[in-house]
Amino acid sequence: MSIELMTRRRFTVDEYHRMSESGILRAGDRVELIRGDIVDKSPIGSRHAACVALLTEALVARLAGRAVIWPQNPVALPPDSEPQPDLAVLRFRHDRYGSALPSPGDVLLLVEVADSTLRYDREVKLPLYAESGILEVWIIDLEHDRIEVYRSPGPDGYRAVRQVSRSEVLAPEAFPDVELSIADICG
Amino acid sequence: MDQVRAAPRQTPFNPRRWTRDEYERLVETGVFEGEPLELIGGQLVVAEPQRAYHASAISRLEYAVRALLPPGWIVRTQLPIALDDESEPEPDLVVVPGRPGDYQGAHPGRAALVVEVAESSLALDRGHKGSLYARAGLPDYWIVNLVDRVLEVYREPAPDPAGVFGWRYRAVTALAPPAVIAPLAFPAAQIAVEDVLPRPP
Repeated sequence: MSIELMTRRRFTVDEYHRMSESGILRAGDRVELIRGDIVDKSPIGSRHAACVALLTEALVARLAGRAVIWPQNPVALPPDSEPQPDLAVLRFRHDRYGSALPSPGDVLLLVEVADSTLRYDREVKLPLYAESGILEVWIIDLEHDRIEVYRSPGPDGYRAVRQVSRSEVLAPEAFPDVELSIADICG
Repeated sequence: MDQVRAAPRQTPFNPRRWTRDEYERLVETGVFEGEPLELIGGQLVVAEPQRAYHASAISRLEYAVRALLPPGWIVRTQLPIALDDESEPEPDLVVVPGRPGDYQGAHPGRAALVVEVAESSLALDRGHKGSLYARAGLPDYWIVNLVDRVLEVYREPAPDPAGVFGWRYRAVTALAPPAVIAPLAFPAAQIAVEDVLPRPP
């Protein structure tokens, strides 16, 4: 249904939080705030869920004490976005960001697992991550069994883009020693 | 799903849909502080700012309609109606049963007549609002069309898959002065189209 003639009311991060606090947005609601829009997230399929679990295990095993592994948790992108990526690798902090959500400068790598959401991840979230200065993004494309790696963020998007297929390995730019294969990530 | 993919420039995500109950609770939190908003089919949309010409047309319309109503009916302008579970629009004018001071506990849900004054919002009032009001079964919907200086009268709501909300009005008439029109619910209340169409400024 097109509502393009109508202007949706956008929300600030503060308003978004007030909705949670007042119980209008419930804990079970799968939503994220993207440029002021409260967006319904697609249900997570089993393969998607397993992929996040595998990646989490692999990263925790290699990065314990060096980074905070942040699966399915929100990240603050001021002024009007608070996405909930499938996983983020954050600068290590003893309090695990207990006092405030991580902001773009805290994010070393952000990962989205795309099944039916490839267009949304590429066309909506990726430009937002680039503008926010998120250093590196991986989009795990389950349908085509490959990983898109985006680096060098700028206002016009990521300047370095490459695709990694099943025969290759990749490592986060911030942790070149942590080499992973698609099998490590997607099974 | 295929239709969504085929539509150009379709937003590739689903903005959260709000129920009317959630919307009313949101309003109570004070987040919006008197902002002009409407809940249209689950979407929270920003109402267009009004030019003086538009505001004056509403006032003129109100005067003409109020003068002709029998006792037991009231006019409300730019106030919410509890249209359905996911819609709470604020039409420019509605005629609802009751007396002044009614509807303290809840907004009226049904209107004998609903009118929008349309200038820049003409496409929206015809397509979206028309389909929404038809879906809710509102029997008599008028658009004071300031662009073409006609009064559009929409009646006989019926399902139509091509409608934005799956419904439309089957009977559509555009009236220009010196025509007269009576609301469906009040056949004796003859209103001159001239009286509800302001002269351009």
